[in-house]
Amino acid sequence: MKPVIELQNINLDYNYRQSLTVKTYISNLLRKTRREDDKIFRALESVTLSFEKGKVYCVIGNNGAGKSTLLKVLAGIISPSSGILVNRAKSIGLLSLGASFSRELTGKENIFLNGLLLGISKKYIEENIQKIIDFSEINDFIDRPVRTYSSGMVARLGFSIAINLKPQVLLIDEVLSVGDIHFKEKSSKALVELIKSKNKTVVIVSHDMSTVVNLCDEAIWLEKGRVIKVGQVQAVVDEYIAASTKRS
Amino acid sequence: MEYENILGYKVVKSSYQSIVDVVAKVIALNRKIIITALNAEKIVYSKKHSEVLWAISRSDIVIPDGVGIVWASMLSGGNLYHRITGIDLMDKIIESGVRIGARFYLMGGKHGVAEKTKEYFLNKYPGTNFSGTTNGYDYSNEELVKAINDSGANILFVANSSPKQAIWIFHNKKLLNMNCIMGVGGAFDVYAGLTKRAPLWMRKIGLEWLYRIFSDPLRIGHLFNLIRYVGMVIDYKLKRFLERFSFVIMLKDLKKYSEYLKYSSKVQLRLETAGTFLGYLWLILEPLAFMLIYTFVVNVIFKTNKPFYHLFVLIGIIVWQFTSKSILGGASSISKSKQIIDQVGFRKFILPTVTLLVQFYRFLISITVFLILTIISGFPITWRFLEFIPITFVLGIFVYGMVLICSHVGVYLLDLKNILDIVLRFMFYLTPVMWLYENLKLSWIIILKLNPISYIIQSYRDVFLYGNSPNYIYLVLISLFGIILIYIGHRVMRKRESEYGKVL
Repeated sequence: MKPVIELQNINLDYNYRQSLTVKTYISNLLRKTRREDDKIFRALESVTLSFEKGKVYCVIGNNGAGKSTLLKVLAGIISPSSGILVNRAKSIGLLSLGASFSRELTGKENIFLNGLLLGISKKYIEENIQKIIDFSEINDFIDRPVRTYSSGMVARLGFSIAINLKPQVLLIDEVLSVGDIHFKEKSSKALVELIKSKNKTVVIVSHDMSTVVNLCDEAIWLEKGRVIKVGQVQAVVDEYIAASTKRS
Repeated sequence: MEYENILGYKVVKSSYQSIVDVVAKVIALNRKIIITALNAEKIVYSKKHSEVLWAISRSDIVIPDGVGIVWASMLSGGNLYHRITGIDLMDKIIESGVRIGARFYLMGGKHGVAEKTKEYFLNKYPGTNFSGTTNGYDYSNEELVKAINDSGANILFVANSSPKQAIWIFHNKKLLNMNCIMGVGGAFDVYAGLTKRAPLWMRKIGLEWLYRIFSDPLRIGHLFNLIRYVGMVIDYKLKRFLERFSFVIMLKDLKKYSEYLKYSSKVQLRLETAGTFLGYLWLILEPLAFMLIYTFVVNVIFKTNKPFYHLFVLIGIIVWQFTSKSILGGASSISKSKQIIDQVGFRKFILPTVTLLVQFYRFLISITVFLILTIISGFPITWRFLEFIPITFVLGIFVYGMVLICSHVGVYLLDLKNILDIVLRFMFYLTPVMWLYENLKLSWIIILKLNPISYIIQSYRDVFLYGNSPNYIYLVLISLFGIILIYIGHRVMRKRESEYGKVL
């Protein structure tokens, strides 16, 4: 069984290039020296990892360690500056706080657009749409434009889509605590179920070490864009906690 | 040190001397590096065993040991001309051993081979400090690691068969208190005089592997690995090569996202008229209203009474609206979708494609209205009407090319929308939407005919109103131009789309 996603020597550079207006473009031309903000920031450095089917991974590390960037690379949102990324998954879903909804479209339309863009077939979405709507508890609002939703409703809908459409790889960025207590319980139950089914790959970014240890098989410890340690979750988390307490 | 990417591995591109300098520095700073010699076989193994992949990727210095690596570099247009072999690098490091304060430990080989290697080097470079040797078979792994650590050595050469040695180093590197660990494969056998290296001329033309197979027929199995390697390189290159023909990829992507395109354009079309009192009726009313205005202005105010001027102007409006709205919409199609771009990985050219599709639906609705009006006005329906299909196809290709390019530029240049507003307005007056060429000077007609849209409008009028055939040579030229635009647009987007999220 080949890994679902393989990263080999991945580097990711951010250069702070911005959109230009004609005015700034001309003023940049007139300035002979290159500006400070053309500098390159390396967000991931020589990252080699492999993700297997049926396993749950968590990514831990301090703020700015490159955790979210790693998820974005896995999701194919940004492609690495160098190195090889092998992706054998048909569909990869990223679940993070800012959901990708068009505000003018209805909830239902957004469900379809989201799923289809992830590469999930229309038929499958049609079969599961009722489940998504029920799970999100949005009820009648589903046929209204998303701009009329509360922020909690948007978050619930996002979570519900991700968990019910079951992409082959599910990437979760710090959104294990969506909505009220009732929904929180429901969502973590659904997540555990998904994990138990053992045929999906889940990657979780979280600062909550107790959930991480409970849910995950393996931990990836990142520090300044480099992989410090990969391995059995308890061992890595212990080492990480020891390192961070030592520092403080 | 400079690197080159060979089949995904970072291979150093420098001289023996500079690597020896690095080793010296590592000893001085008391750090640890792993040097791995990369050859074709290891790459083949690394595809089968992920441990080998990890062992190589986690090495600090990967040297191009095999000639296959050099060939792969040449095929990729790289400039890795010379091998850096493990066996020669070992010699160079030991040569400077005294100078850089190295204490060597030799591990591996058959019984007594490591010992003989040590004697060879003591002869060659007297005074070199060897802390110990072992064949590695007589101990358990823990005892072995302990023995090596206790010997006081700081550089370890491991000579086992590949890929066993790479995996061993990978698993034990944390435990070994060395400054430098390097796998050298069959090097001990050569230095101990058990096997001979290929003659220098063979090495120079890169045929050492052939020599080794002939001198030891048992290595014939390695030949298969070499063949697999050649296959892998070709496969890798072929994929890169095919990527240049982005049309193949584009069609694949269009197929992959076909359901999304269909659904999204349908929803967008609804959105354009959503919330209005007349709803979908606006799709028909808009061109009709323009038609009435222009007809009123020309026929009533300017009193030039032309027969069927309303049809003449309507087809011009329909084509022009399609063109200008697609281009304007395309220019902002990516920049306004930041949210989706930040959340989902997909091919970004899908977004302008949706814009084009939406406008194309509108275009088809309008054309239907136009056809009905034409028939009502008493024009005979002939087979000639079917010629509007190739014309529409050409129009679609040309506009698609423009849309792709504008959508890419729109990401970087925020002024694009304003600029396009002005340019399109100017183009509108240069395009025969409301007027004919007939009253103009010939030189102007030639210049204005360079505008593909004007020719396409002319073709529609020929087919529907005048009963003529369009000039197909000109249509083919326009579509070729459009295809080039699509090709460039798609290619540029493919190259740059990964930075859209960072720019917006």
